[in-house]
Amino acid sequence: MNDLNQDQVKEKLSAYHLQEWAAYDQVPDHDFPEGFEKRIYARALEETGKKARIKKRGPLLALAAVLVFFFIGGAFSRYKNRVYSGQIPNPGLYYQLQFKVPEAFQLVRSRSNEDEVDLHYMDRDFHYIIFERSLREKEAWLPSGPKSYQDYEERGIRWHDHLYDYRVYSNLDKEGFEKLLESNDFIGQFKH
Amino acid sequence: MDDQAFSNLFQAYSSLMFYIAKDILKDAYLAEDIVQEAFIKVIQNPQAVIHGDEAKTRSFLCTITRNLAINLYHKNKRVISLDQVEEAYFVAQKSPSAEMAYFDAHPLDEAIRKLPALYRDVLVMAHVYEMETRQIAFYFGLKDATVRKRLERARKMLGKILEEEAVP
Repeated sequence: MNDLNQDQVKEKLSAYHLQEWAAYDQVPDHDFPEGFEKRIYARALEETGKKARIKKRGPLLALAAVLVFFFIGGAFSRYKNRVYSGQIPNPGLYYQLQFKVPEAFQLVRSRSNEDEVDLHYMDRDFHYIIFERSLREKEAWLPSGPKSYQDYEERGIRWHDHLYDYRVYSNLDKEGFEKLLESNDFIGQFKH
Repeated sequence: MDDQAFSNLFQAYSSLMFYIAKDILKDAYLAEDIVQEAFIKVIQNPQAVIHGDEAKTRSFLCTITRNLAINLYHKNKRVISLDQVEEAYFVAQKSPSAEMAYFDAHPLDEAIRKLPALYRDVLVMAHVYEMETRQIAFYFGLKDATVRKRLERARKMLGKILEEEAVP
């Protein structure tokens, strides 16, 4: 095609193009539905209007897209630095709990009822941090622990600290856990 | 395009366009849809039909109608190959008329005649109407990439036909 004379190609194509349809010189009239012609024109104008409106709204849409982007970014950032908070029911008294855990830890179990609060976090290396609180029998949660929690110790999860009324267990060694405690990411605060 | 100009076009060519579309689709309702689609495109971009050349306007409208109808045919038969579409179209197409016999006089005429309609049409749009790929894609209801590919194939095919004809 590149070797062909472009003008000649154009001329021949043009001639063929005009001649080709000459064969259809006599076709029967078709009865289009009533209002067909008007509907086509109205629809074309409507579509043209839509396109123009979209063009006009372009900058507005771009701004909206940027805002949505920042909103999602903000939400993601909040998720990363998540603060879990909630009201824990206790007969006659409500506690508000607020704390942060490092990003690597995900909440894998959450239980809260009239008797206890139980929150388990785990990271990818199966390090646990467990917050537990009895809302009825505070004595039963002393460091020696109730017998039913010995299975934690069997799994290498042991009591590390008291944070207010919470007992914190972890299978991290003492050094690792203390390092976490020092981290600003870790415990935010417990509020009563 | 004002409504009077459109009305004139509609009165003059709508039946012909319907006939071409129905020839391919074998369905009057679908053919009417194609007529509507083709006219909407022309109203939105009337540059190709406002030159005042009646024969060219007629041919242009017929060409876009044919391509839109073939597209719809293709969409409705998603598994069908392009060759089958071509075949289906050519079954419906009239045999080359006596008026066109003189085209055989030049090898290029013969090559153009032998070119499948789908490929010839993109060449016509690109060379006769001097349209860009984007514009052809708009009128034919295709993606830009499809038009580019079809143009490339059409040029190769035309060259190949000419080469074959040159061999004694």
